[in-house]
Amino acid sequence: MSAVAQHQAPGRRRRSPLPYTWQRGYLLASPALLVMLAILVYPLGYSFIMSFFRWDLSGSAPFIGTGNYSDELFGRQFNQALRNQTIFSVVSITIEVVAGMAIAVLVNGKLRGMRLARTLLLVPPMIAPAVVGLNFRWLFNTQYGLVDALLRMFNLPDIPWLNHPAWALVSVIVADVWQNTPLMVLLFLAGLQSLPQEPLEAATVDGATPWQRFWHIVLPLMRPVIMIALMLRIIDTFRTFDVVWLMTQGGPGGATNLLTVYSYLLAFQAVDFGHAAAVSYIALGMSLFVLGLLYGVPWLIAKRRAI
Amino acid sequence: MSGNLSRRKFLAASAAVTAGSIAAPWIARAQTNEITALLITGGPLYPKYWEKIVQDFTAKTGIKVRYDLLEFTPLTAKVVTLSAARSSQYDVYSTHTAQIDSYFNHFAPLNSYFSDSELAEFYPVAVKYLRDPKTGNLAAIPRNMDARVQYYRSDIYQEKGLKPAETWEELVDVGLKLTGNGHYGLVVPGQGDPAQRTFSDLLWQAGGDWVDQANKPAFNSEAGIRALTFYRDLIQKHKIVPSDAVGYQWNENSTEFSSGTVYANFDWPGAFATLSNPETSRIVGKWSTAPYVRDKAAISCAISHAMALNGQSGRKEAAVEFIKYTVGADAQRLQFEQFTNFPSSQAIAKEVIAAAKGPQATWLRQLETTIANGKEWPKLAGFSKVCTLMFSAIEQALSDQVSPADSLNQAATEAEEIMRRAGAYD
Amino acid sequence: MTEAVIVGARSMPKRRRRRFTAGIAGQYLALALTVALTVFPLVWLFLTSIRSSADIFSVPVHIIPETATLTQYVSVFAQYDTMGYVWNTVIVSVATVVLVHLLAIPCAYALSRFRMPGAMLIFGLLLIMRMIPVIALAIPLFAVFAALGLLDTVWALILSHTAAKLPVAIWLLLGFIQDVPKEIEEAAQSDGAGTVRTLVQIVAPLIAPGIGASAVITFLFTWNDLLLALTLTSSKAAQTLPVGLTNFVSQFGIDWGAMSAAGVLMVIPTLVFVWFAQGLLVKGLTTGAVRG
Repeated sequence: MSAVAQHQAPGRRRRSPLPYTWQRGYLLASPALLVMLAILVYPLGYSFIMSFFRWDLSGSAPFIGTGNYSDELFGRQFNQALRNQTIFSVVSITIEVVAGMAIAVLVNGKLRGMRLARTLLLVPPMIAPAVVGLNFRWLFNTQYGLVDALLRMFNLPDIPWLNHPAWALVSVIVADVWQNTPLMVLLFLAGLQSLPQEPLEAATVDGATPWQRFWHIVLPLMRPVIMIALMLRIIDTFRTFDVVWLMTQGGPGGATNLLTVYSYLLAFQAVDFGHAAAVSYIALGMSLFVLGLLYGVPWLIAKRRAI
Repeated sequence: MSGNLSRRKFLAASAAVTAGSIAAPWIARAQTNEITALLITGGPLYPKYWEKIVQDFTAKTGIKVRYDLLEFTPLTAKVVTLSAARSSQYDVYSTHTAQIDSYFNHFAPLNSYFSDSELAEFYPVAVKYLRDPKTGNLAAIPRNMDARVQYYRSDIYQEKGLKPAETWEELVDVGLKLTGNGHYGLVVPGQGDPAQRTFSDLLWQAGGDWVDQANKPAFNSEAGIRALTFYRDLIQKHKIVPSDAVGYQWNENSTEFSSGTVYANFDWPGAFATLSNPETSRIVGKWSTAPYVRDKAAISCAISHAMALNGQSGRKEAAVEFIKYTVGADAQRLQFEQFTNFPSSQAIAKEVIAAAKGPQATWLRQLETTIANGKEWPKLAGFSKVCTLMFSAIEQALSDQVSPADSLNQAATEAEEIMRRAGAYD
Repeated sequence: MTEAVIVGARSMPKRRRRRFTAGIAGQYLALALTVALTVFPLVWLFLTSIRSSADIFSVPVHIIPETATLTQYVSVFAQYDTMGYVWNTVIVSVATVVLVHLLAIPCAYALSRFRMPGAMLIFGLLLIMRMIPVIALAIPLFAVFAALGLLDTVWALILSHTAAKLPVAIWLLLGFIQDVPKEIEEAAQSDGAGTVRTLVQIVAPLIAPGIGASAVITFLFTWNDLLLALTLTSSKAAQTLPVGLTNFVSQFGIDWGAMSAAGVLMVIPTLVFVWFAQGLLVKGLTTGAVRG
């Protein structure tokens, strides 16, 4: 019933008479851990170490300390990518979460056609990013695309979707929002449906307006779900590649270069793997840092209040 | 007991790994008289071409060739990855002058396999840019020449009483007369490597060059700024080019012309075959060719697709046999017949030009002139990285984010730093 | 029941038969708008796939195709040999699902039931693995499979997808296993069942919906992947559909019609799962989140 509140650290369990020994636990877990170790952790470690070397095809790979990192952190192209990444992540996550919550709240009822609607909402998050990227590139084509054709039909001015720097960033955000807002809706719907009913009923009896009920009761109760939704989207926006690559290749002029796209360009066009790895690790570090803030700040505030 | 069962679970889990190791030798199995090659494809005709080449080669030498085909862009990325992993999966690569400077340490030098007189057969401009400027080693051997000419809609031009443009000014004038009603007078690509190619042509035409005598960046000269301003204005000021061109690569550049929406473009030799084929073109019989436009000079790029030998290959002799065959007379004649690729051998080029008739003959002579005057950008250390920088700089100017002068000046400063670090001035 | 959790624009007293109010109209409007925005890019994809090549580049745009044709679908198979890509994708996706679950179920069971020192470290690692940008792995991963001699085989894809999908699957299954009352297992074990038998015969059936949910998710994310396949394959022997999709882009043109047709074909499994396994999918996507 109160699944939202149920928050248990696995492994911390009451004493049991059964042979749940750690040796046996590791035996069961080891195949999975070994596969991940060999196929994820080893390459990860390898490219992390190589990010401190001059790593290209020149034949020699001298150790250069944090050279790749400092080159990038003070470089113009990296900073453009960082700016784009920040805008992309902040704007698309904000829209996805706010719109996702709004839609979830609105459609969370016994509406006719709800099953069909929910079915359709499941489609975008499950479609291949490659299809989404190519399809949106075609939708946003100013000559043959649907969107500008519709605008022209209503005598509205064309929008230079993919060829104008600011609009190009808008375009990739639109594609991301289209693909991921439905996921947020589904998450929030599940959350809303497992909310405890007593506080809501009490508030209604006390004459609270729907807005008050939402703001003071639903939202605080939904906090854990919102946190998870934010976490998922933060992780994924820092990994976004396919959609943007197929829509714009980071262009025009780097206007939609996200950190991953920039890293790909460095590796496969500039043939400079050291810098590419450094950019990847900065991206990983940043998403860890943001997640740390997300979970750390409320914790600190709570601690302060307790004192 | 549970230990036993866990082991069984473990076995099940590593089944894949086991199966993999069983499969490994089978995959790596290669007879001494068999080589592997990673070859370029582009459009529906290429696979048949390679099939025929490999068949003929095997019939002649007894050496079998296993090969995979990739389009140009994925091919480039794949060769980067293969080289980074020092892979010996393929003995032979299709490659190109564009990124050759990255591979000087990965492709085996071909000097010793070709005599000077054999090398003299090829267009010198191609051979020059496939050499490592430091060591003089030849990293690859040209298979066909790539240069661009103007393709235009002869039917529309005739209807409107227009002649194909010869100069920059005419290009704008003619373009303005053709643009309207959803149609455009011209299309140029504006993204990535194709944008750099286009800028490069205009830079040379304006009288500029990439680097000066000391190999320092010089593309931000007066001529360079004029070239990039002209390029931007085609799209942003005169609007004779569709605005989406800022995000177009070669394929969309070609598609705009072959679909009938745009009335002129500059395209590669392969376009001649594509435009003549009703399956890939809606304007069969309605187009013709003209020389590339000129400004102060009539220069544009002369680059080449080439064949290279993997430095890690353990079957170099057999691999070189194959490379020699693919750049030999028969293969060059066949690729011209199949998809009008321009030969890299001067003798074969003369031969096909002599045999050609009508519009094809005119076109070939135009191409020959372009190649004779053609250039390629420098193959200095770090230039691949400079290219990535240039993509962005050119796109920024084309999409009106930064002025051409600012964009080029900024890029020149950064380019010099990149090349200095890469050891271009050591 | 659900009435009480309906929040938002509706301002009517509870336990009253619902009337058609402005609030409800608003709800329907919101629903309709959401559905329309969700659907229209897909409709466009479908419309592009049934156009003739001439119609695709018509100016002005015909929003509704002048004539419907299946030529694009024919050329997807006749000209581009798409069947090979389909098989590779099916093999890779199915094998990945099987392998992931053979590994993930015991691992999740161990992590939720056994007092393992370092469990928190493992959780942290699982999260970080979920966060890795695949680009960072591309080249070293390629080197690993080159060393194993598995490059350009479906095995390279299966193994790398297995590793990449494991963290999410383990995470998901953990939630379900925690819901299984421990007493059931204890009863089985006091009857003499070993750990593995308990897991296979008692726990696995109880968490079947969870396994189903994570299987569907694993399948679809593997089916959709582009980057790993692009990195690890270079021939028809192992290339998958998303890679095949990029082959419609060649030097002298983009075949938008055939590419859209292939795109529609790629979306079919998604639609099938969404229609027939909707519950499992929703469970898979939301369980971890709602539980925290």
